Amino acid sequence: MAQSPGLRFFSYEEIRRIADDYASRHCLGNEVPVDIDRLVDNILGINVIPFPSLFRSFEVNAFISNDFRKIYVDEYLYLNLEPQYRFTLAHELGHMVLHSEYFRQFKIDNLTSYVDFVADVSEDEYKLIETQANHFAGLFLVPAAALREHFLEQAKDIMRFISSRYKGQRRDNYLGTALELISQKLSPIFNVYYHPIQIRIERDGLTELIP
Amino acid sequence: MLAGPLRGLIALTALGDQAFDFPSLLLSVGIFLFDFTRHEAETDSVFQASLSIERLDKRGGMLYVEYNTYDMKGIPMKAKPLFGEFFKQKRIGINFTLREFCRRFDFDPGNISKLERGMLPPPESKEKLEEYAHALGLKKGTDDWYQFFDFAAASKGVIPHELMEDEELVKSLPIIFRSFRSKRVSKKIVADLIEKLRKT
Repeated sequence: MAQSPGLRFFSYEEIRRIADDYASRHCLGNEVPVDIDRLVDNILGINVIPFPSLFRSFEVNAFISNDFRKIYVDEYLYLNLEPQYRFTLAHELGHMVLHSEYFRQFKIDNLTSYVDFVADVSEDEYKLIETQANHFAGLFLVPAAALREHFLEQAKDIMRFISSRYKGQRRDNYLGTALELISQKLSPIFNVYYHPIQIRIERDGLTELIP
Repeated sequence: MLAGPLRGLIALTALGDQAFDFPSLLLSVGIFLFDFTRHEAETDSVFQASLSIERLDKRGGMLYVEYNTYDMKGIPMKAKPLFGEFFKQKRIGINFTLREFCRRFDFDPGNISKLERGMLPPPESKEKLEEYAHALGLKKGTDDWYQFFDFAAASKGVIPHELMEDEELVKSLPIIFRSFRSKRVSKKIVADLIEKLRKT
C-alpha cells in the first residue's frame, strides 16, 4: 500500500469556503432549501441507491462508493425521512469534495487492499473525516446568508414567547431553549433536521443576537 | 458508448405508403458498421458482429446484430445497459430525481435504480413498459417511444448484471467504513457488506 501523507486538516472556515465555492460552481444561488437531491442525482450523475436494511445490518445510514459514482442510502431513511436523507446526501458529497484525494492515494483495486485500508484508518482519522463531512453538509445545506436572514425573522417571534415565559430570568436560563426553538422553526425552511441548524447558528455566532 | 457482448437491433420500418426496399436496408447496415468503426477507434476496441434479418417484408423488418467488443488484450468489454441508460437519461430530461420519479408514479426506487444500472432486465410485459414510457413523458409514435421499446427488445439478449462483478464491487465499497458506534469493522462485516452489495 502507498505511504499516506495523512489526512488534511480543514478548518471550519476552510470548509465554509469550499462549500460556498462548490455551490456557486453548480449555480445553486441563495435559494433554500438547497436542492441536494437534484444536484447529486441529475447534475452530478451519481447513482443514489436505496439499500434495504443498511442501518440494521451495518449501523450506517449511507455511504459513498470509493469511485464516487454511487451513494447507497438506507431504504427506510430514503423513503421516509427527507431532512435526514438530505443531510446524508450532503455529508457523502462532502466526502467526495474533501476526501477524494486522500482516498485515491491508497490505490485500492482489490478486496484485500480495501480490507487493509479499512483496518489501517485510525479512529482519530475516521472521526476527523466524519466531522469534516458533517461540517460540509451543514454549511452546504444551511448557507450563511440565508441562515442569518431567516434567523432574524424567526428569532423575533421566539423571543416574544421566551420573554413572556422567562421574564426577569438570566439569559443562561433560556438561551438553550430559545436556540432549540429557533432551530426547530428553521428546520422546514432549510428542510434539514433541527440539530445541524442549531450547530450552524452557534458556528456563525448568531447566538449573540439572542438578547 | 456501446460495448458488448450484446444483441443489437435496428428497426427498419417503411415510411408512410412508401414500401421498404433493399437499398434502405443496405444503408442502415452501412450506418451501423460505420458507427462501430468509429466506436472501435474511440475505445481501442475490436468488434465482431454477425447480422441476421428477421421478419422482413415489404413494410419493413428487424435487423438483429449479435456483437462482441474486445479490448486490445482480447478481453471482452462489459456491456453498457442501453435500456437503463436511456431510461435514466429520459428521467433526468424531464427533471425528476429518482426519488421524485418513484414517488410521483408509485414505482419501487430500488427496482428502478437497478433497471437504470442494468442490474435488472427491462420488464417483459408490454403494459409495464408502456407505463414506464408514459411516466418518462414519451409520446406514442415518436422516435423516443420506438427507441425505448427497441432498447427493451435488444436487452432481451443481454444477461443483466444481477450480480455485480468483483472489479465493480471493489469500486462500490464505501470510501470509509465504520459502524454508527465507531467500532472497528471486522473482515466478516466487510464480507457481509460485499455479499449484499452484489445484489443491491
